[in-house]
Amino acid sequence: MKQQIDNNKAFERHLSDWHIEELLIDSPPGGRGVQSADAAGWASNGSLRHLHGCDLCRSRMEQLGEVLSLYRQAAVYESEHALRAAPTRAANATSSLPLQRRHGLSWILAGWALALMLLVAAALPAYLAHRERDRRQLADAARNRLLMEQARDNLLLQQVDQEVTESVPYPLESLTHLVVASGSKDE
Amino acid sequence: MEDAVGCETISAIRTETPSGLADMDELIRVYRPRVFRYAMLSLRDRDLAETVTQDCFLNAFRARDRYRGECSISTWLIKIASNLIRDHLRRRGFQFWRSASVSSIDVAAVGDRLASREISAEARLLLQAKLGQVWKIVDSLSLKQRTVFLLRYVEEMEVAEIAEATGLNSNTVKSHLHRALAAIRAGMNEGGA
Repeated sequence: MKQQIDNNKAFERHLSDWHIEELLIDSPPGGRGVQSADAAGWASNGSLRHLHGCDLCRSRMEQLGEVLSLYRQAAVYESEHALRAAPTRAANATSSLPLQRRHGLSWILAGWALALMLLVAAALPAYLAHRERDRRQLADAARNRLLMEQARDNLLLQQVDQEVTESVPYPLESLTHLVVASGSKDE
Repeated sequence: MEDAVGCETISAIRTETPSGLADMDELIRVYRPRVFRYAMLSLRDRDLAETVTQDCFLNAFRARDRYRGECSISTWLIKIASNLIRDHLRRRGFQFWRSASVSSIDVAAVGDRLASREISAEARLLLQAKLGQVWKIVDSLSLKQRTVFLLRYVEEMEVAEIAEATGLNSNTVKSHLHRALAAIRAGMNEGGA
């Protein structure tokens, strides 16, 4: 008897928004109405019992259910429409990459190419100047080496001359005169 | 407008086994619309959604040996897609200039196609207004709320499946769903729908 009274009291109160949301969350896929909730076997559910007897709550639930259903229909329609357009784009594509990614990639590549060209343009004069300086340094070094070798040769010749013209001991002086005399005689 | 893709997906789920991953062509044929739809609605960018869909199947192919059949293939793919979407959104957070390229739905065109020919011009306008409003509200939801909302009310997944796919627990999923529905209800009431 007490339970009957409680049930009647519960029936007098309308379902809260939370209860309606709860019914929509738990309703089986494909249906957002009272029938679908029935199909889920909620005969024992108090909210559902109320829903059967209360036009206002049923209408509130169905209104929200309709909005959800409308959204789903639009979403499905829109995605199918986009998907139908997708193979055309894929057919035109030269690679397996999607359009946007390829465009992004080509911009990145172009950016890198431009940066590389600027780098080369900036570095080339410096490189050429550096090469010219190296070449001059090598030529200078070679000239210096040649001069040093010449100086060394001259020094050696002088040394030899000095050694050749060194005075001979007295007893041998007559022989040197003799060599000079015989040399002049041969001439 | 119950779509053929949805029916096809449901019939495919019934026969899901780990060996179902062997035929990648069939897998892509059956699940591509679903993964693409989820990615497109989450990212609100068709080109990016295509990229995510491709990457999702590529990752699934690479990881096919690790699939043990503990959840449905559909849930498994949605899980992979969710991770990819999260990564993309995180990366896109820094690319504020790309927001201009994000494509949005042409509510009028969709509303026109959804409306039956018999309805009056006034009813058609009302439908378009309602659709525009709900679309805007869903777009304004937080990432987690939008994700669970899309999985529940567009992909029609169960709360437990959503929990599996998103890595959240069932109570958290339900709590996000409550908040998303509350936002939609409040937004629609504000708009007078």
